[in-house]
Amino acid sequence: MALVLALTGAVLWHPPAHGATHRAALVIQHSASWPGPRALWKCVEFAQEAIGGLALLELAGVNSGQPPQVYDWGGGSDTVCQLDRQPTPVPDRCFGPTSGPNWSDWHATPSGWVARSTGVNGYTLHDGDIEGWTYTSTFGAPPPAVRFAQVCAAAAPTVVATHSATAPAAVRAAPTATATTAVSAPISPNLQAAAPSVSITSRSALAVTGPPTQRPTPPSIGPWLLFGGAAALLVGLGAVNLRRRGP
Amino acid sequence: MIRHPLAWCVWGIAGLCAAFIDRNPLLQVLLVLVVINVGLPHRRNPAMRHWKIGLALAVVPILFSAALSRFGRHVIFTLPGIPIVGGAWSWEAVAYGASTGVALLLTVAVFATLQANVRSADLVALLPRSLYRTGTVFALSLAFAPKTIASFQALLEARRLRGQRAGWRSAPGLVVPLLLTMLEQALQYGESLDARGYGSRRRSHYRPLGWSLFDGFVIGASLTSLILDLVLSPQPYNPYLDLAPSLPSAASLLSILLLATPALRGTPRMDHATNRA
Repeated sequence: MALVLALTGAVLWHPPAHGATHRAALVIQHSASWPGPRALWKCVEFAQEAIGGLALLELAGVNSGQPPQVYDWGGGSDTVCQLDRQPTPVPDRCFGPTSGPNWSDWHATPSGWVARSTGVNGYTLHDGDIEGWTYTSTFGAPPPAVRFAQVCAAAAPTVVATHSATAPAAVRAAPTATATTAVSAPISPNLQAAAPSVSITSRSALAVTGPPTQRPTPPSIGPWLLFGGAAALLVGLGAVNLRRRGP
Repeated sequence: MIRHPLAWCVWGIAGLCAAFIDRNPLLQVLLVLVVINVGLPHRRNPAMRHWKIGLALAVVPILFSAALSRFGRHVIFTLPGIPIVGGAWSWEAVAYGASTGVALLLTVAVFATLQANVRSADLVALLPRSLYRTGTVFALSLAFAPKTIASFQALLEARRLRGQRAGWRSAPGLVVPLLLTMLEQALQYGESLDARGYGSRRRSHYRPLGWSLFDGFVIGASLTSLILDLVLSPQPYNPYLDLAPSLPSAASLLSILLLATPALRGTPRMDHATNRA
């Protein structure tokens, strides 16, 4: 009996979710015109075996601790409109002019950075993965080369986070090109202050981090009258032309 | 009436720019009405029969966009995991394909209107002296394809009158007569050019192109429309960002309405010279 109980217990027992921690490196590269630190490195710890790209950004606490603003293209293809407060304000309908700058998503492979072709929810990250985001015009440029150990040092703070409960991630400003001690780069006080304390779902981010909401104004009838008048004018002209005899 | 081909050319360029710069469906509806208005007086012209080609071109992008695009939040239906076409078909993809298709339809309609109103000989006459020979050869080569089709149809008609089959199976039997007909036409072209002194002396004008007040009016309206499109162009319509099109501004409406200027005096001129080669 004891043997049966022991075997059953061994089969059914699962270690607690927070029993092992996993880490992923996040690299955020701002545009050249960004007034703050252009590159941010964040080491994000999570308890699950794998997390999605949006969950990584949420856990990293970018955007003043709030989830990044995303735009849903449909079919689960979300793309990121704003990261770490760039662009501010968020353009109309996420992108504004279609050729404007935008955030592009990259993941590190042994051969270098490779652009993501799926939405931010279309992939998962595992322990040791490196994810990069760059804000550039039109076609995205990859982030600068970085090693996992540079971002996630061995002595990094170990705050275990889960999907539903966001905890501050290790936030550090990336060293400049001339710096040699990347791991010991000082943590930006501003970014430390920006670390999140409360998790917000990605869907609520649109209301939280978007431009100030205004009471929707009822559509004016003037443009409709103009459009209707133009259409009526052309239809009337067509009736006149229809009466004319062709050659 | 419009007398100078340059006026039609400026109108055509402005119309094509309006068709492609902002593909707002509301503006496209107005632009279709404008092109119909301008083309109505010439509706019996053979060139205006090309609208069927334009209609076919308009349907193809809708099918391709709806079948291949998997983006969009307004789902029409979802197909199981069939390769390429499987997944959610969305209204956004249909709207995007439709706006592209209407732009193609407008392109065909604008060119058909130009073909119905402008003689190729007049266009060649507009060329500078150094390009005259090249332009003449180019115009002749462009005219070769429709002439071939016309000869083919004439041969088919002749076979029908003789009680022979006129289906596609009879096509091989038409090759030799068609070839002979085209060779004969080419010889006629050559003799015609030779008789008119092609390339031997300065170009003369049998019928100099004249300007009318209405030509200037059309050119002014078309240029104003073009400038309004280029300078005040709003954010282009993108159904994936917002399926409902925004209401066009007064400037956009004005730029479209200005293109209807040729329809104000739509009676075509009487062509005394019937040579359209």
